[in-house]
Amino acid sequence: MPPANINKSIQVGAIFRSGAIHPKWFIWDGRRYGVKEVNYTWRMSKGLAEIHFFSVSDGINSFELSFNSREMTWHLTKVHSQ
Amino acid sequence: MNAFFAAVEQRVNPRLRGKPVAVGGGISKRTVVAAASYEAKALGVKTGMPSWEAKKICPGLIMVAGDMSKYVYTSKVLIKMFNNYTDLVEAFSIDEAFLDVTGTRARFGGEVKIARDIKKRIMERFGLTCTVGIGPNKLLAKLAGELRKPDGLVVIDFEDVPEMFERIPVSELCGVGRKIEGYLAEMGIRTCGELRRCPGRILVGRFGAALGESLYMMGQGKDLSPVVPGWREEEAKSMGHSYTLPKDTFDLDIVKNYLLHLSEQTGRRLRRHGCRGKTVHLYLRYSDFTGFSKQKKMEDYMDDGWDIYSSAVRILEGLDLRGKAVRLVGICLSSLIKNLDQISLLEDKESKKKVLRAIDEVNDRFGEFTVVRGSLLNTELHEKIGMVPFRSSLRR
Repeated sequence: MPPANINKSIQVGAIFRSGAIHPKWFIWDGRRYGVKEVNYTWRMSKGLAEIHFFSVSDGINSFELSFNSREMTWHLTKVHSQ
Repeated sequence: MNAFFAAVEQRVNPRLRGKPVAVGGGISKRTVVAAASYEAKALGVKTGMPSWEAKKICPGLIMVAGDMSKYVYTSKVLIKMFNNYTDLVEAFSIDEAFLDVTGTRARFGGEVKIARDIKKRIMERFGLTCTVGIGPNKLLAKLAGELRKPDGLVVIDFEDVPEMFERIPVSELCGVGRKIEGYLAEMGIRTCGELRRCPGRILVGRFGAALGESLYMMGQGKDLSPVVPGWREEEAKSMGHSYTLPKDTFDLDIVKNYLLHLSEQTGRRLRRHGCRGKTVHLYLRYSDFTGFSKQKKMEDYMDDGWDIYSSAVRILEGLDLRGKAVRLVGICLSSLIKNLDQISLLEDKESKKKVLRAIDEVNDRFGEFTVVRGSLLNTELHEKIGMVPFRSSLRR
């Protein structure tokens, strides 16, 4: 099963430390998910905006979060079901 | 890097770890395997294999749609990391690089120490393994890098060459493809050792001066080519884009629509590099993998997608598909010149330049194809896998 594209604006609790972003939890559809592990991080530019991507796990599932540093917004972009 | 795209996807999604994974254009049967995990390779899946064939060989194979943004970002971070050790870093492909540490190795404790350090840092930052080959030149370093995968570190010195070459197939040498391998086999040359013993005059007689001489040097384990860092790279000789259609088509209007999209991309790329091109190459690949290719030198240099498209359509005019469905469309501009921005006496040309500049500014700020021609709204190009304009595609 390919990952489900969600692209939904979400609330994220993150620590910004020494030039790096560490997401700690996020709320999706009223449920709070704790970030147990950050599996991978990468960035890409979209126009002037820099989008930071985080593949995170809550211990059960994996999610892809993105942070738009220009608009200061967080999105849940994908959920890995497999 | 080892099974780069697949390894990245296994890091991103922990549930893929330890499983046979292939990265391609998605779950469509038309895609090919751009990279296979070691678990998939062990079951016979190879890079370049059509996904339906890979699935047939390995029914449990998990096909993952690749995401170039991850791979390009990772690759850029790696190159930056390598630059900590030397400024002579040549990006050979998205997942391979040559480092010339001749002048800096003493400062970092030697080449083996540098290799171990790099492997450790890549593992810490990305959780990925890589193989490092160390040699006195690029040929031997590349060969060393091929000998122990994954997660290897192999050193080849000149003194190792005579003995080592005896057991290495000639196809392991970088620059010896399937065709040359076949020609060499006809001459009874199957190992690097046999190539080593073959007199240069015989190789030159069979392959001509350039290739024959080059093969002779390879046989001796010699390679004089320098590590060419990005900042010393030659300018691109051509620029272009190609695209495999989601579905084969007999409809030339659909082909033209994709052609316009590709022409706009090419125009944008030319303008970003301050280039203009005069010769337009158009190519189509049919569903039976035969193709049509034609080029035409135009009257003027151009960097506007619409001009490029119009020229390509002129080439396309009169083409009879003869019942052949088109699978891939490609366009490329050559005869490039740089920084020619002469003010035109024709007002409309100057106006067009201003419009293009404005469109470029908007797209720079908000992302590619934020402003597009109306006719492109029906045509979406999905991101391609495995074809990265990393240095410059379709060059030289």
